[in-house]
Amino acid sequence: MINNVETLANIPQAILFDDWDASLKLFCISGCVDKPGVYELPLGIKLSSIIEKAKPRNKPKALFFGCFGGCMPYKDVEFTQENICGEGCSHGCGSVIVVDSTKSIVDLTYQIAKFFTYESCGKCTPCREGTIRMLLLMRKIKKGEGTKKDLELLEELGEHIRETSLCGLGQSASNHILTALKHFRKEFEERIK
Amino acid sequence: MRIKIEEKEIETDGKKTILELCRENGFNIPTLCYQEGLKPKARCRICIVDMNGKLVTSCSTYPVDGCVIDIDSERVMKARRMNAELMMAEHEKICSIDGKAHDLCKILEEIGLTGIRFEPIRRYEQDLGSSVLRDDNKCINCGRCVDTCAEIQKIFAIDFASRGHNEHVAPYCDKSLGEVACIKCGQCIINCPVGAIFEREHLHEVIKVLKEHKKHIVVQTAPSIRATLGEEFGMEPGTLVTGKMVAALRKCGFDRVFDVDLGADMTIMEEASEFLKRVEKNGPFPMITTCCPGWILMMEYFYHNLIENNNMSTCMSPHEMLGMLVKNYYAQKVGIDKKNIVVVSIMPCTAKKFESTRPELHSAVDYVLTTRECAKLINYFKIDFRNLKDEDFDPALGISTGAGAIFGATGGVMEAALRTAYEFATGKGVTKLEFDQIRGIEGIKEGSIIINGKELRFAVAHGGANIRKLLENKDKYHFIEMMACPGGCIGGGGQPLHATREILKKRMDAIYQADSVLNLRKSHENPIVKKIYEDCLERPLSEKAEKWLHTHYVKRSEF
Repeated sequence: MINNVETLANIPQAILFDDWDASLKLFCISGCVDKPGVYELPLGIKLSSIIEKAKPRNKPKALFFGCFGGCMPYKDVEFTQENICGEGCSHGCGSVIVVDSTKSIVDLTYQIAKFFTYESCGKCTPCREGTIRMLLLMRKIKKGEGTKKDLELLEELGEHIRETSLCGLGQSASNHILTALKHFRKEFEERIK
Repeated sequence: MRIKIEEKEIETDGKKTILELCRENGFNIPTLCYQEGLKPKARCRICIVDMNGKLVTSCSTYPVDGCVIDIDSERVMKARRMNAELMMAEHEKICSIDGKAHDLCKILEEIGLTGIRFEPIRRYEQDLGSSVLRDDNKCINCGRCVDTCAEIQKIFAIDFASRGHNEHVAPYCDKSLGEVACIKCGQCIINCPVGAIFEREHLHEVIKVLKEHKKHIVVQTAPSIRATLGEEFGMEPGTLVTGKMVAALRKCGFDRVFDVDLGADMTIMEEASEFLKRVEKNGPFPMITTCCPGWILMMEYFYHNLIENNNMSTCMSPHEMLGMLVKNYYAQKVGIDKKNIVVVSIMPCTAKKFESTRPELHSAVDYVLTTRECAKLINYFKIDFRNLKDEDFDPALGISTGAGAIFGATGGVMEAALRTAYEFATGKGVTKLEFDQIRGIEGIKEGSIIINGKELRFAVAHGGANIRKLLENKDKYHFIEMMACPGGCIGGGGQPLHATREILKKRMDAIYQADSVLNLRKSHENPIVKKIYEDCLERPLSEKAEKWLHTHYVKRSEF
């Protein structure tokens, strides 16, 4: 079943117009920017030109590709599968959250963990029990009560949920934490005891 | 296609899941949510295996050509351990049932989970509102009870409520099981791997009564108990333990041990007469048996038209009949005030517990114990069950026929009734006592018999789903037997846990064996039955028999 609005909107275009440009993609840009919104841009353009559209406040520190996609340190590369997925995350469906140095990666991952805990349907064990455990560990770390062991457990849980969950939601539910731990481990380590 | 499981080359047509292939080839994979014969749900993720480097659930995945499957590599075991750990974190560590019967405990041992790094966070109130009780704190959300209720029984009393981490099993609107259309069959109990659903125990009340011993205590055992009780003491499924069971109960301190088979014989006398009366008057058909309290509840909730059209037989269930006879007939004979008699029934059934509280029955049975409780009782008095010498039932109300014995299996009531009805109507015995059409484990069985030149069609169904199916074209038949549990009473909700189809078959064979070795195999040949009718009831369906042995039904709302 196709249930993505963007896909549905593209179907008549593809049928009616010979000169339909298949490379155009909707980008949803938000975060530390002055003009957040949805922009139609061609695939494969540089990340800097995508973000420019939304007028970032400061120099970006990291980009989150939606809740599902995970994050990477800001680099001015082309928006392609290889460039982005090479960083250990997927480019998701074109949503970009801009994070600059005024914001903490730990706080943001905590918020996303909350989202997944809420969105889990509860059918399979790793997602149902795992997302809440990740959230609780994140809360502990955010409050400054976490330990090194908690970080390790968080990573182990993340891998486990990604590998053994039933559906796409569960399989991507730990992307943000795993990539954040990979690229911004320092920020986490600063918060723990 | 050829696949490789743990270095073993296997040829398969691709129509079997990895789990089925592994089990066929002797590889053991632990499962929790998987139930034989039902569609795999892949909820618990314990059966995970490694196929070509990817972790997949073996219960729901079909192998691809040339794949290599690893079932116990460190990676696989680690994934299983983590899933078990996540489940155990919420599972209350005090288990209500014996550790040996506990699926999750066995799996924990297999995969070697030692410590749990998470604290429990959810807390639920126990649902103690009916004869089937639930404790959500023990629940691991495997969904076996939900699948059983929806797919095997088609009652839909429970389902998953809420989402994510708050997901839990509950009747609608988080009501108690006592308030919704639950038929108390207890199939969820025997399928629960962690003991989160259990029966309302009367065990301690019975122990108290036995210890005080101020009254005359009578125990009666259902036909199917003799074929299943042995399993609770580690014997092979299908071992008949009639003599040991009687000896053990006597050792527990019961004054008299009676056989519900006699009650079953009484039921047959009444039911067969009722059926012949309907044949004479040409209706109303079909007549439907009422020995199963689970089915009665199902009918009262969902099939009000059967009450309106008088399709239901009015006979009480066998143990209620016998209880009535103990308190009225037997008490008078031995000269004890019926207030000083306590009747304990040992039943394979959780719905019987509910039945004995029905106001319209004025039940003579004081306590109902399940097979499992009976085993606990015997263990409580530290009786070495396996080495007991066989003893016989007390003769006063303990002589029974084979017809009563086969009540324990699906089709048994019908078979027993036909043996008697045929002889009542024609004056001749049936040429062959075994009605093979209605034996066996198929869901719906049917056959016909010619009585006085008239062809009478009969059918047998067991398990809620089959009952619903049979009721769609019930008008074809004259006589129908319904049993709410798969396999009949041998698969009842009070029986030893986790019965597979194989085990059910073995229990069934044992029941039929119990019948075939008896000299008396027709209910009306039972000398005690004859005597009871001579002494007080006069004849089947007499005014007194109607008063003592028959009942009526109430319409219940589904909501």
